[in-house]
This record gives sequence, C-alpha cells and structure tokens, in this order.
Amino acid sequence: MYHILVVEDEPWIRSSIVQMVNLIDGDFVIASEARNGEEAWTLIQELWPIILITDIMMPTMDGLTLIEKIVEHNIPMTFIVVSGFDNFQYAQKAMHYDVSEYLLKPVDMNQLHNALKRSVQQIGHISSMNELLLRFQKLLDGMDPMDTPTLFKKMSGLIESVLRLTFINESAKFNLLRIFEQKLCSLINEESSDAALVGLNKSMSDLTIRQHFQTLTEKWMIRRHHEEKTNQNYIMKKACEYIHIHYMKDISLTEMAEFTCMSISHFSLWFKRYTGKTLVNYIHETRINKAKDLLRETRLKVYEIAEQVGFTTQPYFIRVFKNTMGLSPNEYRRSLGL
Amino acid sequence: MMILQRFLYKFSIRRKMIVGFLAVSFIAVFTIALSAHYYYTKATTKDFYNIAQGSSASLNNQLDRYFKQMAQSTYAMIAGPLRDSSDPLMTSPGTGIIQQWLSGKVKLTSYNKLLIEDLFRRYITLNYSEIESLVLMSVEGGVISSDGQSGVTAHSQEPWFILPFDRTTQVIPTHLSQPNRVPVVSLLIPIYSTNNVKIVGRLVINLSLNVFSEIMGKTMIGETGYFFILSSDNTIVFHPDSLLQGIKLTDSPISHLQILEPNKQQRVENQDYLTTYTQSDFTSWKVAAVVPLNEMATGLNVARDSIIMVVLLLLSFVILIVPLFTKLLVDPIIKLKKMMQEVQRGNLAVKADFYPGQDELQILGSSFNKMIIQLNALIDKVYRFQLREMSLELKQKDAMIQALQNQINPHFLYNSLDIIKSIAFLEEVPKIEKMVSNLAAFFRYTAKLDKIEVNLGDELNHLKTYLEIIHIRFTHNFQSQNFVNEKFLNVSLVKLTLQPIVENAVKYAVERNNGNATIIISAYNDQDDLIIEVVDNGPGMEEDRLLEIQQNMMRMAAKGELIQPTDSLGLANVHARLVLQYGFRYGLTLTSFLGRGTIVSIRIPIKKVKSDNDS
Repeated sequence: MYHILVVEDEPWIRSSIVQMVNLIDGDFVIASEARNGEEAWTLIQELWPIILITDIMMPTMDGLTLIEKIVEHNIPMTFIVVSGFDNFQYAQKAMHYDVSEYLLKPVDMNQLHNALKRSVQQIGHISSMNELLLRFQKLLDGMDPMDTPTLFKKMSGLIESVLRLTFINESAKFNLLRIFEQKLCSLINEESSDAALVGLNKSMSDLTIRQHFQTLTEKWMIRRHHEEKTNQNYIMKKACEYIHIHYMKDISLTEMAEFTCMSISHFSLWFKRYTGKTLVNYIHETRINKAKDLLRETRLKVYEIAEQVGFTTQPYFIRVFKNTMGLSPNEYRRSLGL
Repeated sequence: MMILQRFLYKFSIRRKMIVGFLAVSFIAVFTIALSAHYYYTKATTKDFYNIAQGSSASLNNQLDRYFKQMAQSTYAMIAGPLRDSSDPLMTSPGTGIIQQWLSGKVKLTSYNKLLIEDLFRRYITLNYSEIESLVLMSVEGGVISSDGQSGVTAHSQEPWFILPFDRTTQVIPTHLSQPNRVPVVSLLIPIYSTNNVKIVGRLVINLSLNVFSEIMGKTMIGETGYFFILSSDNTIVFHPDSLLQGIKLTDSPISHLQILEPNKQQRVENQDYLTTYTQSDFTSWKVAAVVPLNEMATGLNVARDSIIMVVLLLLSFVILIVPLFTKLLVDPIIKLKKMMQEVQRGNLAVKADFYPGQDELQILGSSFNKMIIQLNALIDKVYRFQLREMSLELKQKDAMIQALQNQINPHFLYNSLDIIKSIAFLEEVPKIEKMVSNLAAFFRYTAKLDKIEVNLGDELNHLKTYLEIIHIRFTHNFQSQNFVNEKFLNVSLVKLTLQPIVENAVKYAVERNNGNATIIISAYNDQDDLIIEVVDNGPGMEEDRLLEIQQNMMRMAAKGELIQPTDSLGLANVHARLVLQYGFRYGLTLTSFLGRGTIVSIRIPIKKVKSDNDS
C-alpha cells in the first residue's frame, strides 16, 4: 500500500485528484488531503505518506517550501508536483529537490497514472523505512489497546529493527532515528523542545541509542498518562459536535485547529486519538451517515442529497458512498425497500 | 564691374591665379627691363660726353700748347736772329739779318736771302721736322720761304698772304701750300721790330698734318669713334680720313654732322651718333668726337642681353613656380570642395585635414569640420529622438501586452481550466475534460514564444490538440488524417506553421460544409526540401480570392513585416515568416479546385533538430 497525501488549495481540483487516485489501479491509497503546505506538514508527521502530490501556488506555505522542509528533515518520500506554470524556474527548483514528476494543469488521469507508476519504481528501499515510520506512528497513536510493558517491548523492538536494517546506509538509519527522536520529543514537550532530550548523534553506539530511546519512551509514557487526566476529551467532543453541525461545508484542519484553539498538529493528534479517524475521514463518515438518513427519510434525489450533505458532485458522492457502504445510494434505498 | 566679375566667375580660381600671377610677373619684369635700359643708356651717354669732352679738351690743350711752343721757339730767330752763345763776336753772318731786313736796314740781297733760307732750314731740321716750310713775309710784301720759293708770286695765292697783319698769333686751317700743294696748317706769328716794337712782318709756319696725326692719331673712341678738328670757318682741319682734310664741312661727305652744340645725339643715315666738342680759345677750333651710338651700346647691349636673360629666367621661374604656388593655394579649396560634394552625397563621416593657423582656408576647413560635427550631432539627436519615440511606443505596446497577459495570468487561466476539468471529471463529462485539456495544451503551446523553430513532431502534436477540439465541435462528420512519416518528425520548421493553415482550412472548408469535410496532412521530400501538404475537400477558392491571398502573401514576404493576421492574412503571415526564416525559395503555395478543395503546400529546407537521441 502506498499512502498518498494530496495537497491542493482548490477543492475541485483536490477532489478530482483524489478521485483519480482512487480510480487508478494499484496499491494507492489516499492517506489524507491538505489545503496548504502547513496542513500537509502536520499530516505528514502523523500519517507518514510515501507519495506527495502537491500544487505549487498555495496560501500560507507553498508546495516547494513544503518539499524543501520534507527534504530537510530527511523524511523518506517521493514527490509529484502539479502546477499551472510551465515555468523553468519552478521546474528547476523542483528538480533540485529530486522532484522527478512535474505535471501540468489540468491534470490528466493517464499522466497521473504514469507519474505514480514511475514514482513507485523510484520508491525502492524508502518503502521499508516508511513501514517502520508507520509502525512507529501506530505505537504512538495507541490504536491497539495494550499495556505498558507491551508498549515498551514493542518500542525497543522497533528501534532494534531500525538498527538492524541492512539495505540502507548508516546516515539513512540515523535520519530515521532522528525522525523518531524528534517525534517523541515533540510529544513530550509540545511548546518548547527540551534541548536535554535531543541528544542523538552519529557517534553513539547502538547500546547508547537504545538507552536514549528508552529514556524518551519513559518520558513520553509519563506525559501521556498525565494528559489522559486532562479534559482534552471535552474539547474533542465539542469539535465533533461542530462537525456534526457544519458537515456540509468544506471544513479544513486549519479551521478546526482555530476552533479548538490548538495548533494544527496538536489538534490532529488529539482528534485522531479521540475519534480514531482523520478529520477528512470523520467528515466523510458524518456526511454519509447524514446522507443515509436523508435517503431513508426523504424522497430527495440522489444529487440533491449529495449537494445537501456537502459533496461537490453527485458522482463523487456516489463513489464515496460506495466506498464506505459497499453499495450505491440507490441500491441502499432499494435494499431498504424504499 | 558686374560683367567683369561674372566673366571672372567663369574660370576656376586656379586658372585665374595662374593668369594673374603671370601678368603681374611680366609687367614687373618688363618695367624693370625698360627702365634699366633707359637709365643705363642715359648714364652711358652721359659718361661718353664726359669722357669725350675731356679728351677733346685735352687735345685742344695739346694743340694750343704745341702751337704756342712752336711760336715761342721761333722768337729767338725772328728777333735777330739773336747772337749765338758760341759766337760772342757776332761773327756769324746771319745774326740780326731778319730784323735788319724787315726793318729795311739792309736790302735783301740774294746772299741775305740764302742766309735766311738756310737759317730756316736749319731751324726746321733742328727743331720741328713736321714743319713743311717756314715763310717770312714783310709788311712791304717781301716773301722768303724755307723751300726756296721766295718771292711774292709763288705765295700770292696763299690764304695768309692776303691776311692783314695782326698783333695776334693766328692759325690758318688746312689748306694746300702753294708751290707743293701739300695740305698744311699755317701758324702766323707777327714779327715786331726790336727797335720800335712795330709790326714789321710775319712768320708763317706751314705745318704738315702729321702733327695732328701724331697728336691725335691714336686717340680713338671705341672701335669706330674718332675725333676730328673743325676750324671756326667750318673747314675740316683734321680728319682720320685724310681726303676730307682741308675742305669745308658742308662740302664733305660728313656734312650732315652738325657740330653746333656740344653733347648731341643725332641720327645720320639710319645710325645714331653721339657727338660732342670743345672749342679752343687760342685757335677757335673745335675738336669734335663722333661715336656711333651702337658702338657705345656694346655695353648697353650687354646690359640689355643680361636683362633679357634675367627676364627669361624670371619668366621660366614664374612659369614653373606660379602653378606650384597656385596649386598650394588652391589645393585646400579643391579639397574642401570635394568634402562638400561628399557631404552633398550624404556621407557625413568626412573629416577635413586642416592645421591650425591664420590661413583663411585652414580656418574654413576647421569650420567645415565643426559644421559636420554639429550636423552629425543634430542628425544623431533627431535619430535618437525618433528612436526614443519608437522605444516609447514599443514600451507602451509592451506595457499593454503585459497588462493583457496579467489579465489572463497563466496561473489563473490554467487553474480555472483545471477546475473545469476537475468538475467535468467528477461529474463524468469526458468531452468537457478532453476539450479543456486540449484547450489548455493549445494555449500553452501558442503562448510559449521561447523558440522560433520547433520540430515537426511538436507541430503535429499541437495540431492534434487543435483538431481534437474541432472533432468535438463537429462530432461525427469531420475527419482528419495525418500521413506524415515518422522519419520527418525531427525536421525543424518555424513554430506555428501548420496549425494556422489547418485553421484556415477549417474556416473555409469544414465550417462551410457544416463539418462535412476531411483534412489530410501529408509530407514528402523533394531532394533537400520537405513538402508538407494540407489538403481539404471543401468548396475550394474562387480565382479572385486565390489571387488576393497570393498577392497578400507576396506583399508581406517582400515587405518583411508581419501584418496582424486578419481573415485571409493568416496564410500570408505564415508565408512571410517562412520566407524570412528560410529565403524566397521557401514558403507556401496555394492550389485550389473550385468545388473540389484546396491544397496548401509548405516548402521548407530539411534540417533536423539536434536532439539528444541523435547524439
């Protein structure tokens, strides 16, 4: 499975790209969508997608800056840039960050497919690193309920497997560990990164690295335990209520972060921990539930329902509905004998 | 005055200067020559007069002195003869005999007569051999001659015989002595009585003319100039030509000479003579000098010759120098004239070589240079002004294009097109998707003006995007075929050649037939040229219209400018661009068959675009 993050400020185009990816054969899955670089950056650090499809011209943080940041942090990813500009300077800058795919708007599905295929060929060993990242994230998310000893065991096992990686060089290994370290640090102390915690360096022996991560895990556990007692749950409940009222609108991560007075990353983390879903998925689910209500309780046409629940087009709605329910809206009605 | 000026303007300055200089030189030289001749002649004449007068005066003196000495030498004799110092006792029979005879104390005896004659002869022999004869004449008329011809009868014809006795010594000019008929000059010396100082007789000394020959004989003036002596009664006393001696001047062959005033130039028998004379107080004779003027003029001639030489030298000098000098003066003018002619022809890059100084022509030259510089500056100014205006205009156009481009900024355009396409995709309207995709590609290719030439493959791709839109327009009826062989895809040609031609075909063939038409694109090579044909099966063109388009094409290609493509000018525009890029051999050819269709042939040179694949 190749997790893809789509970053595009135009909702129509974003939806269209997402839809194209869904239609393309292959192990592609949309991890999430983002409206700008900043949202994308937050989502990347939680979802660890392996392929980034991004526009260039976007508010707050443009696509090239986002790519620059990813490359700076050595996050293992490949990039597909989508731009209206057939501009040499952009292309050159993109090339500088190893962007091999540069698609011109309007995006053609065949072109996107080819670009994805080529990207997959390029991924190679990145995918195993990505897997480790995903495993790491899973541990942090605590999706699977497990006791503290198991968590410790799994964490040290993960570090161990990173250290034992044979097909990547030492610096790649180190970069991966550095990503782990930074992630843990940010969880331990969100506001200010504690300098004392950041101690990873290349000269460390495997033993020291293991001890370092053990310390970090300990601290994180303490923090997590402490946080569970705070009333973050209340805020997340409010957020969910907000979504249930405004589901038909194009609700963004930024908007929700503002509503909850949290940073995008913090909100994203807590929302996922609270609902077990990403914001996009949660909104989709809400919309589909509302649509089911309307299908059952009204005689509204499918396209009317799609519009009411906030889907931009009927086919898109049908596709999403089918993906969630396994049958089309009309089939759903008929199955209920309506 | 005006006429003269106008006349002078007819000739070049060079000619005028040469003529002027020569004229002035000639006048100057001739003036010098003439005045020199005149004054030289005058001075020579004057010198002659001085010298001749001096000579004549000295001759006169000599003659006077001679006569006086002659007279004095006889005094002792005629006063006695006086007693000889060697004869204190006066035993000599001759002593006092003349006085005695003349005073009548003694009778003339033949003895006495012999004595006197002998006395005379002795005197002549001892003193003056040039004396022809001595003649003693008493108041009573007795005559005793040294030559023995005593007696009145022998001498009565003599000029002195009839002359009255006078107290002065007299000279009688040349005459023939009586018995011997020898030309002589007679000196008459009065004899006084030693007792009572009465005149008692006269002694006549007949002098032969040798005297004059001796005195004057060698005195010549020049080669042919001579002296002669003229008595107061105009008898020629002496002349180098002895035949003239003793005759009156008026009877002589030289009667035309007038010896009336000293220092005279007179013309005789076509010859100029200079004459002068001095008159003796003693004899009242005139010693005259006669010199032909041309004799004197040997000096004059030398002077004249030298003057002529100098004049000739001067003239040749003038003839040689004047043109050179004139050239020196006139050359800068000619140079200036040439420069001006250059400027007249429009060459403003000329620069005259002139040197600083007071020379007016040099000043004129430098002024000319300054003028040219100013002229250039002015032209430059005007040119720059025009250029600025043009660039301003261009800038305005640029600004307008910029503004237009900003209005359709590519991000907005392609974003909008992508939104349309996304909606079409999500709403599942593939035709819109296709149309939008092709439209975006079409715009993108057209708007990108970075290359003049592209390869045929690019052009065909672009044509494909265009034709796909047309296909959507005329859903089923319209057909298009591309038969261009793949081997030509790398041939380079001017960008946007193909699509405007097809667009033209769509406009006149497809649209008019409501889409019921076919457009075929094919290509083949003709040696080193590639021919691309765009064929439609539309209604074809009327001959007038075909002609009009062909004329448009030719006009635009000839002018080398691109007119805004309006209507049929699209083809002309493509043609002009091809001609500009490849030359007149290349471009479009139109063939039309009314009712059956039109063929547009594009001829371009085959040159492959260098691509990475080739290398």
